[in-house]
Amino acid sequence: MNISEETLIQGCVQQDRRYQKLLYERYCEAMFTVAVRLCNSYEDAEDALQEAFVEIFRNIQQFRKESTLGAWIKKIVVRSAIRKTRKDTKYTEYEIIHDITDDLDTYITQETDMEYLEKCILSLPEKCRQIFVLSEIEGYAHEEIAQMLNISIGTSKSQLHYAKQLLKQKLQIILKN
Amino acid sequence: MKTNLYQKLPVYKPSDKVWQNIEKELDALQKVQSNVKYVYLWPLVAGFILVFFATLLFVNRQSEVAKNHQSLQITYSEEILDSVLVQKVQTDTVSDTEIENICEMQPVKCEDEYAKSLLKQIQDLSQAYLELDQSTAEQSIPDVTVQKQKAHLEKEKHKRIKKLKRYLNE
Repeated sequence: MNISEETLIQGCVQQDRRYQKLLYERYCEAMFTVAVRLCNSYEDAEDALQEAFVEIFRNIQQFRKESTLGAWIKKIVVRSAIRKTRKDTKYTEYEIIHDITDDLDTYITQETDMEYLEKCILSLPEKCRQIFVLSEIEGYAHEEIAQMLNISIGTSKSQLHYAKQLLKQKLQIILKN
Repeated sequence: MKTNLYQKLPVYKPSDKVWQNIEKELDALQKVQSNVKYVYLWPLVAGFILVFFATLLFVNRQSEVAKNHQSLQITYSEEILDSVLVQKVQTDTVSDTEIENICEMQPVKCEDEYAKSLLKQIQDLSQAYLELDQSTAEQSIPDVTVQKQKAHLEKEKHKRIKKLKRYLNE
């Protein structure tokens, strides 16, 4: 069904269940995918998605169109997923070695098995995985990530660097084989 | 990173129970919202109406009390005035004989038109007082209105006597 975003929003503001379902169906897969990568658990990701959408429907009248609806929804889902995984463990600061390139393109080629890459990403330690997902897959800037995760920009950068190093090691094994 | 991982990586699909749970939560929320309307809104409205009428009643009662207080004050002042008036008239009452004595001193003046008119008025007022006094003589409890009328007659008579005295002494 080709319904405009504006109509969808208005229908949700009116608490019309048909429009709420349409909105959910339009965004659920993309949002669930982010949640899975952040939580590394289908169960937690489903819980996060559920909580996020309830929050979205309760607060949709507050959507000010400062960003796209998708971006607004994604931020709520990301926060919900992070809440699910938030533990008291501290982020470790890793030293960024500048002579080592952060570019993963050498390792990720057309032939790379994306399912395997996904497994590699999901096997990363939680904190650096979240930063990798938010930065390299979802496209958030370090400032936004720092704000969402309540960490410093430096920590965000060093954790991303660490994530990339770990990924390279994992991908190198495949290339060698 | 040049590679667009977002488009290449696999996409996951949530199970149907997620939407079912969302629906359940939304239903519960709507129920709470409508309960808030009926459980809390109506008592609020009823409370407001009660407060409104209580205030209205209080204001009415206050103005009633104020009115009563005012009317009580007026009656009280009238009573005081009347009693003062009666007392004053009683002490200042001049007998007819006294008037005759005055006129004996100034017989010429008492014969002129002005003095004669005043004497006539004094006699009329005395007569009216006597008639009123006789008509109410049998009443065991004196009527307040009659008392007032009598006091008024005495007062008027006294005024004229004073005028006459002043005129004769000129």
